[in-house]
Amino acid sequence: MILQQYKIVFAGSMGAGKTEAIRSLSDIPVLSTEALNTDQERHSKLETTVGIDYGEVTLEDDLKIGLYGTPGQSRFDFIWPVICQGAIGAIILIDHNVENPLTEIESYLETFQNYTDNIAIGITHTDEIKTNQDTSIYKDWLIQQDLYSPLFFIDSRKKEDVLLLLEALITSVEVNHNISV
Amino acid sequence: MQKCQKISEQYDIPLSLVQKFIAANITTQNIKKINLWDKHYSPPSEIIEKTEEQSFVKNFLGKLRRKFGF
Repeated sequence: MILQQYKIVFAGSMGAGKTEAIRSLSDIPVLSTEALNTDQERHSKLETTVGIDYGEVTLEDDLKIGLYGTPGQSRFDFIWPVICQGAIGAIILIDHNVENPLTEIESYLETFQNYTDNIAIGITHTDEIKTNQDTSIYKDWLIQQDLYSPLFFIDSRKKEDVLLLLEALITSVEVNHNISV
Repeated sequence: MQKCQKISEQYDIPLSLVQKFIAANITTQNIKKINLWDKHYSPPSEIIEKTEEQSFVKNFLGKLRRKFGF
């Protein structure tokens, strides 16, 4: 596994679009480890990530940032500490159509808050009508929990949507480090 | 006096203000409660380290912003 010094982690539920999000930002073809999805009850997609997705962004001075996508299934949670150590921040992606999206957010936030203060949340698949849940549940829940992580509804296949999340994440880092732009 | 001078330089506040602060606390018999060295004094190395870290993060995020045209 390539472990860059600078990392951004993409976490979240299966089928939420982590691989697509990384693909839309990466300068290199994404190294993916997709396998046949045998958990059709949880998500109907044919293939899912079983290892780590890896993409890369190269900045000035040849500075590289690794984009790491973690497997969505919790049985792979032993990988999270390895790739989260020293991460710039985490982008959590949640499929709006999963059975309990708020429970999923809570679980991912609880886990990734142990590694970074800089977290942005993206809710995906809001254009598919498979659930009766209103999209307002997320903002209401964040307010109830006294949480201030930026949250956006995105299509992870669209670069501009993923960039919106990335910009929110960068702003979080600046705020947490008391940096004025 | 040397301590006052150091605090004035390191915090970039006028020496007279430091002296007034101490004088006011002596007048109100409060000076024993305020240990200028232990409670209100950050060693210069810590300040420099923090500034360097901030500067590094700012520079790094600037590169990231430029890369994606933010």
